[in-house]
Amino acid sequence: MEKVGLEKHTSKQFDADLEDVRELVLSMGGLVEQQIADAVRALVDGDGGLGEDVVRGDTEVNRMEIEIDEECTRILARRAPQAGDLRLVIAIAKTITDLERIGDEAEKIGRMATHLASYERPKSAFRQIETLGRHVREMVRDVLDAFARLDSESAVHVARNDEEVDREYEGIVRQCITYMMEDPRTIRHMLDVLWAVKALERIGDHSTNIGEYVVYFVEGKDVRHIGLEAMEKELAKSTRTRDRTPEAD
Amino acid sequence: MRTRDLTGDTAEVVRTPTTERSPVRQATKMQVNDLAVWYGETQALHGVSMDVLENEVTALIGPSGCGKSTFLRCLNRMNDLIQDVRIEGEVTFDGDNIYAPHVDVVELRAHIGMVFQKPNPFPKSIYENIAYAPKILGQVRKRTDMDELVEHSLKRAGLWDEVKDRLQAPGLTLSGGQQQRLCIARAIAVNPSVLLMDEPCSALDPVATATVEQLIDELKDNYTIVIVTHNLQQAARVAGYTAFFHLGEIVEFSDTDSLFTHPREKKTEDYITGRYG
Repeated sequence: MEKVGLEKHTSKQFDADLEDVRELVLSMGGLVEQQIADAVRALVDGDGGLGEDVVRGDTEVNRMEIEIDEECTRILARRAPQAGDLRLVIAIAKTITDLERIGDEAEKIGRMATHLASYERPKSAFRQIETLGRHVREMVRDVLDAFARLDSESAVHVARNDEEVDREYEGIVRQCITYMMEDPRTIRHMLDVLWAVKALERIGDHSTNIGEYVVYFVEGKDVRHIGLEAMEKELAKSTRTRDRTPEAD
Repeated sequence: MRTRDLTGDTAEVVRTPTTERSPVRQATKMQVNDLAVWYGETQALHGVSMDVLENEVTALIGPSGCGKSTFLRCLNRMNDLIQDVRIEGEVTFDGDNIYAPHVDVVELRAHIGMVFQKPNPFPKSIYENIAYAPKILGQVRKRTDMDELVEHSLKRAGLWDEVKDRLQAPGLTLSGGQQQRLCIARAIAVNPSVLLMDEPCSALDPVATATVEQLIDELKDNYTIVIVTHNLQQAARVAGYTAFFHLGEIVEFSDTDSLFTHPREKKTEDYITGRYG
């Protein structure tokens, strides 16, 4: 199968419609990325005010989800898109659901940051959280990049990064357990920390989902629920096929 | 024309539909082998091969002048009527070559009926429109048998309830959609096994179109249908398999779901997404 593009419809307005909705997804993605950054910063620095900003900021993420959803419905109704165009609209509709959930996770972290603002924290645990936060933010950014560049290989790469994120998450959980065993008075705070860390881990999962939608859109293949290895194999197969396809006659 | 499947293996020609549906082997009703057609000096089809599966709806799509109507007309030798036409290759119907010298074309067209773009009822009564061909072909002689056949055909075409009280009214007094269903009833009356439809809905409003599409859906249990349509949505709605024609060749022939969600060929993608030309 050929790689898809967005443009060159006979109807220029259709090109414009698809481009507009794609731009909206990318700016929603940018907003969500910022929310994650702020939430992690609020958590690590103990900045309750910033945490509250993040909680408020989620309203805008939700508004964008609805706007893009409506735009997708409008395109489906008016353009009856086919093939690559159809896959794009479906992929967008699914992507924004995951972006919205990522927004919710960021909001959750913001709320935990507010709770923990007054808590005297063990530095090392929060340093690890900072690293984890940076990694999941990179995943979100990379997958949005893959989406923007119609790059299915990078999308699969994001799924591979999720394994590293899961390992980091496990490490932080173990450390939290150690603190709680050492000093049961920390349990209440540590539970909040765990909630926040779990939220970060979930953001990684949502990014992986978005990567799968990118592969679906670009390659026309559904690679959900098949595992990373199978996913990479599928992708290699279609890349090979594409490279060997003779020039259009 | 070469194509390839997803494993990277090349196949020589597109003849059987590539499919991702369950691998139920369906019987082949008609087989077209290396069909080439010239109108005078102009070649309209360049060695096209294709299997038409039994009790399926196969849609032929493609831009104007791509050869899809020419192809359709070769399936019951309608092109014989055109001057200067030259046809090479083979078309089989239940295994027999329909271009063999001994074939009776009139009888052939009774087996492979055709419905045209514009409804074209005879300027006769509704009853006579149905009864005419079976009478000429000598298929039905008794009046009561004929009454039964008329009723049966009109019922099959979903028109009976609308016209049963005015069978003697001229066919031309019906609405466009009704006229087209009358033509379908007329085609069915001689008991064909294949129905060829050349843009059967292009002159109809959306409601009449929906009725005819519903009819096509019901007919496929008993007939093999090949339909040429410019309306891609219609192909997507009614056909089990779709072939994309371009410049006298079949570019892609797949089950309809695959063709409209992830076509293999860029040309197909460009055409169905409106990037053609």
